Amino acid sequence: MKRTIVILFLIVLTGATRLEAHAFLKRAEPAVGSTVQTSPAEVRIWFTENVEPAFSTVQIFTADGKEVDKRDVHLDPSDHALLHVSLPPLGGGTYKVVWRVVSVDTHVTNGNFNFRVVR
Amino acid sequence: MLIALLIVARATHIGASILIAGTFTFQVVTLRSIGSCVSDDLRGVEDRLLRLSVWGLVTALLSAVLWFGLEVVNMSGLSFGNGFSATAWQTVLLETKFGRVWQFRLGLIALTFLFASLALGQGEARRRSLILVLWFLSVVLLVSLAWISHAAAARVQPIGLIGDALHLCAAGGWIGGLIPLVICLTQAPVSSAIAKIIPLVLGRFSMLSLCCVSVLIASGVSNSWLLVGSIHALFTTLYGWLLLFKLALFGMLIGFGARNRLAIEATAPTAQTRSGFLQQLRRNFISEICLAVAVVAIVACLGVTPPAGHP
Repeated sequence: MKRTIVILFLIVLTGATRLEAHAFLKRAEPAVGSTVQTSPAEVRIWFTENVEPAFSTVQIFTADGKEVDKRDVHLDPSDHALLHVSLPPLGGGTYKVVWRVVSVDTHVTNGNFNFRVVR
Repeated sequence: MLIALLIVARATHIGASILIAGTFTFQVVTLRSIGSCVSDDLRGVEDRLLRLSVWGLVTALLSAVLWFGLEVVNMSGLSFGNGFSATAWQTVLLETKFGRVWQFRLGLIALTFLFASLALGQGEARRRSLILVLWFLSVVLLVSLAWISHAAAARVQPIGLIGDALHLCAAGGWIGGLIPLVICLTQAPVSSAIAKIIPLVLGRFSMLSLCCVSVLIASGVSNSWLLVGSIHALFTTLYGWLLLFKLALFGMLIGFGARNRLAIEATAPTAQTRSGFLQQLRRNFISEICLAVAVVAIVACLGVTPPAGHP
């Protein structure tokens, strides 16, 4: 029986090491895949767990890969599952939001989404 | 590779923490008040249990350092080599919840080690007081693991934290006490003084186990509701499958425990000191220990797996 338990554990361990990153984004503003009529002042992302600000990043890129955010990612003081990053006025076009967060139980997750500004 | 190492570090550390708390719980709850009327043989058993806890603390310390190092790499996204050459480890230690909890736990391990080493050379009265202090410290050490758990990160608090803390406590009381119990049973055939107290020890441990299993079931249901969220998620996510595997092993553990309890109740106290009965019980408890190790390994896997309740 001990051998059976060891074999089963090794099977489970192998499975656990092939984890794919899950997107734990709950909602965002601008919303995922949305089109907005005015340039947003900031991007806000709500996550399913509280996050560690020290290792969490949110970056916004133009279609040709230029970073446009103000690099001031910060946690909302009243909601530790909400990250803000400020933006300068944006021109029309598609923007890509790339995020990487560490939750308070040490999980690292990442993802990205687009939104469009129409002027 | 990182995930596999994290699982090994977590399993070792959680197992060591459970063993330390279980050893002192065994001494305080199961062996309480027996020592005053028994010979040096029981002191010998207590010495072994103290040395077991010291080794458990060394294992807990080494695995804590390994776990911390791996989390620095995990959180920072740096390579294994760069993780400690940069300032990432300072950021993790000082600016994250995990780091702050780890400062507390490392301090607690050091303090518990100090008291355990001190207790080894003390007379009976002083040792009993130190063991009570060690029991408290070891339970706090075990329960503080809840602060960095999935349940503590859940949005519904303090149910998550309390449920996980109770779950850990109960695990310590039951499966953490199995090795100390086997140590006692191993000494019984060679010491008539130890053999005489075995029926009392078995009866007390049996009652303690029953209470712990009840708490494990109740807190387990609460944690599952928080972290899995639905029956569908239980059967369609990796977290759910791991939990089902854990439940299957837990069921087997309870089966073994129930069989042992029935065997103890069906055997007259005088017959419980017979060598054949004790050897069979010892083998059964060793099988329980193997299952418990597998459960702890699954818990470590669950710790690195995103809870099924996440979208």
